[in-house]
Amino acid sequence: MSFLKRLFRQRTKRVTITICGLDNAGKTTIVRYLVAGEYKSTVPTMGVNREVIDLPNLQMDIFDLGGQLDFRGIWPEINEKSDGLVYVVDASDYIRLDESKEIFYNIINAQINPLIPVLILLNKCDLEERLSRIEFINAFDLPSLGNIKWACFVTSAITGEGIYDAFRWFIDAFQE
Amino acid sequence: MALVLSSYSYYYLIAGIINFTVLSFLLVLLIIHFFRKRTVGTFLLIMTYASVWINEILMTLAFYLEALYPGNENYLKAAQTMQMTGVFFLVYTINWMYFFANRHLIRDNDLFKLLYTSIFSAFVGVAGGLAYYDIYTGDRNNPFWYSIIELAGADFNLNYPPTQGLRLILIGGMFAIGSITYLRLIVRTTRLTRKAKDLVTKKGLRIVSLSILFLWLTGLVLALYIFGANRIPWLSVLVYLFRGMIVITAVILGYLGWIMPEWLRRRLRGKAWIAKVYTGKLPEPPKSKENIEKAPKPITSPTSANQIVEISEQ
Amino acid sequence: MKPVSLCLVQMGTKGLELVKVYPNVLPEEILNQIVVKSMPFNAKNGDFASSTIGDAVFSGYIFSVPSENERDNIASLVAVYNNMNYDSNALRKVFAFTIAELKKNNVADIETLTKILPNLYNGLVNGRLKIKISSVITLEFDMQYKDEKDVDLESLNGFGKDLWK
Repeated sequence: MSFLKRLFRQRTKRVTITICGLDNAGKTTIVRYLVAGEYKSTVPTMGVNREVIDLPNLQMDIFDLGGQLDFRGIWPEINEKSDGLVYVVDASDYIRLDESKEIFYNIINAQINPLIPVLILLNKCDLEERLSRIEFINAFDLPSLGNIKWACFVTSAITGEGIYDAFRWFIDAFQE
Repeated sequence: MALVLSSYSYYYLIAGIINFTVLSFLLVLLIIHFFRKRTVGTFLLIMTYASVWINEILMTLAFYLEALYPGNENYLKAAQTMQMTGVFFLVYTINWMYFFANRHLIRDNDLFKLLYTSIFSAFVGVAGGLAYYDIYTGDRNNPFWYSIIELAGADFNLNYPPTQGLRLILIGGMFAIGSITYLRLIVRTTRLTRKAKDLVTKKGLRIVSLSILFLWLTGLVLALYIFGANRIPWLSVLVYLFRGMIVITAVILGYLGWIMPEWLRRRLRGKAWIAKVYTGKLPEPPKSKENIEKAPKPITSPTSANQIVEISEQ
Repeated sequence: MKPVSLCLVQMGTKGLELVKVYPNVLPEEILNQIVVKSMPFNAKNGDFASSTIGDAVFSGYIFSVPSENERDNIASLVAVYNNMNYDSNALRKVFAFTIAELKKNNVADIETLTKILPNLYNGLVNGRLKIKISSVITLEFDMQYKDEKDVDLESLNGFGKDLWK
């Protein structure tokens, strides 16, 4: 019986990942980088883009959610089924940092399962005028997240800097 | 009812059941896809491959009838009718495929489409009507409007549109229209393949070209019988098995190429960049200094990134 | 082919927003619905979407708006009709041609499109498009003319919508 169980057991773990963040934060560009390994220009996401990435023993079903205000209404429904959250912040957008923080805490407190890993990407690190990682962690008050498993990485979807390390952390979090 | 069949008959009968099962499965997949998309294109595709499926059922059923009720005139006529109907359904695949292809691949005008389907239907209608007439009123030992291809070593025969004399025009006409149609589609998909920029579209269209080629071969292989392959028992069986494989391949390739399931799309696209880096097939990209600046020791393996981040946050 | 009105819709920071409508003859509630429906979910550059709102029928061509400093935006050129008796294929060709030509000349921006919207409307009414964008750029399109390249592009795009997921 155990032999049969092993035979038919699903070897590949399937996880649903949602990518959220304000519009123009770089969510779609990051997903495109994960697939193509290079920068590809994008247009604003109309609603939701879906991408499936196969890794050894892990299949990531990525839902890239449109960041415009009109599309944020669909986030809770998708986020509540999510196995992992990626939150993207535009490191050069000082003006909307508070808005981004408010949305982030709304997702954390009301939309996702608190046991899922949360990856925060401080994107557009290739730009000169931007927040540093430490500044961002303090501004977003990330240490207050408590028991939530989180990590923050500085990334650039143009140069690819930090993207692999960030998602490597995420993948490892699922493999554990 | 004592069932004594020649050993060669079993090959045809078992192959028929296998073909029918596989084609039924693929047809169900197409129907599921139709209910998901509900487009005219998917409907026409179902009709195209349903015609191939109906031919397979009718042919296999006819073999079983002839084998199970040898000498029974009524069953024999029913079996012959089934086989001829099956052949015409298979021929009509061309027409369905033509209309399906007219949605995206070729853009014939309405007049051309009307002429095409009228001429094609006239060939099928005349050939079918005369064949049925001959089956029920003519002399079975000397058929005029259909041909009996005796399968050596088997307990049943193949029935086919007439293959002698001027009557050959009927099957010749259908063959010519089918060949021109399929050739046009192959040329068109090949041209589009060259023009497509996206890798998945390129590969998808290549599969579509192959599926059309195989659909064409489905009719062509049966023609081997006309040239005498039916006279040698093992060769006859081999041709029949080969035909079955071609039919199945045509429908599988058609399903994959026209429908392009998500798993195939991913496979054609190739592994994602992150998967290649993760498996070591590509080198790791540059790390951001900020992500590691507070690391107590230099990074030696990618797995340490997690720990480093956690440490830096403390 | 005479549309009731032409609309230009673009993605703003909050969501889809109406940039211009010409002639401005549509009631507000219809316009609001057109804005929402002009770009369906997952709409991408080159898509062509049709829908109905009450008695009105509309078809929109979705395209990317290139930007040098920021990322490209997405917008939709929408033609509204009061019945279904219009050739949506021809409309698609006109819109695709207009946007392609503007992009070729690096003037595919919202300002230019806003300016040429009345000319585009008149072109659709007359069946022949002739829009002078600058002293050197003039768009000309005969709606009876079929470009072979367009046919190929339509074939390639058609697979995605009709069959491939």
